[in-house]
Amino acid sequence: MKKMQKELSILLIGIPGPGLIGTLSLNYIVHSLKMDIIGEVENPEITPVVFIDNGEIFGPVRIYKSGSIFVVLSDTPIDYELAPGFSQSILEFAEKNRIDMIVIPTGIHVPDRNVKNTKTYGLVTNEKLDAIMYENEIPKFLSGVIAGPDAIILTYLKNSPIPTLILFTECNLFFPDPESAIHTIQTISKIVNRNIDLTEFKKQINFLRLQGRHLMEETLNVIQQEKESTSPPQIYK
Amino acid sequence: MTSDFLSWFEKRMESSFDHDFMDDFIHRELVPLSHFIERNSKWILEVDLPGVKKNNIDVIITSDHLIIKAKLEESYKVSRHGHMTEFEYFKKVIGLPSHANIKKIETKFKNGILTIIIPKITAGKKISVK
Repeated sequence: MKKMQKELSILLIGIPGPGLIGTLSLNYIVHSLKMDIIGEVENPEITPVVFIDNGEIFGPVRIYKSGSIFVVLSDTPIDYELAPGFSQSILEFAEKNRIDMIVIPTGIHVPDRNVKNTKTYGLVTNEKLDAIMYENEIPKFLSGVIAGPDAIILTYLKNSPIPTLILFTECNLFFPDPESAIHTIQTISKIVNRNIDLTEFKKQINFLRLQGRHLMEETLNVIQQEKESTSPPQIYK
Repeated sequence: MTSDFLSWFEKRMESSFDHDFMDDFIHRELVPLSHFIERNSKWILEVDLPGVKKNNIDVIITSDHLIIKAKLEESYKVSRHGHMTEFEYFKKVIGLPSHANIKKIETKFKNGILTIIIPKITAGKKISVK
């Protein structure tokens, strides 16, 4: 008799960062999987911006769901001051919804990278996730520096009992990088065990780069708030 | 450019940011993202020019400025206050640092990124080390 395996509850978090990797990849995943919006992360300090979709008003940080997959997607950068409150909200949501694993896709700057040989590295906060990295052939992020608001969020998640996997895809730090985001989408597709057709995304690379310009500019302003800590991280393999 | 995902993504991007602070709606020119770094003997300027072909890029050097103008292969439409503007060009004017060796500026274009290498003038008077 086959033993029934429990489907993991996975929370994916997409916030604007290097190359807009998290934003581009998770927007596409939410769209492709036709995920339903189920709520918002409310914080009075988050940029007071709303968008209207089909006559409904939404805030900039929304929560989507499809089966056992949840996505928190932010249209606005999370700065140093917002990062602790944001992390706390994420953890409360994860505990309440019995999330088994948090996955954060982001980018890592590689100057003059080989676009045709992009790699995604993984970093886990709990050794329970080592098997997931191994099964999905994700090389380990062995050594380097993580700076900016990402580092604050990571510190909160590291101290939480919910295991977290951070995916670092090689990218251009300064410009929206949908070509790298393709690699992130493929990696997430394997982890969540869902087929994601990339045809539409691949056709729109140039327009995605154009559309992401303003958010990229805003994101760099946030990352560079503390200039001392913004030297691009290095990977030593 | 008709795509379900693109319209969806555009809605999210356009709702959060105002084009006014960046693009030139009067001359219908997009302002590209750029990044400037200093290395030992040179400055490196990278300009993001998606949707542009190499032979449609003009780089003009004056004594103190670089002017970059590039034609988009396909026009880019932006709706603002119910009015549609069609952009066909990127344009950016960047001040050159003093001591830039404008005679030896080099450019290359790869994956939609224009890289401009600006050497520094390194000639000077030699002083002895005591």
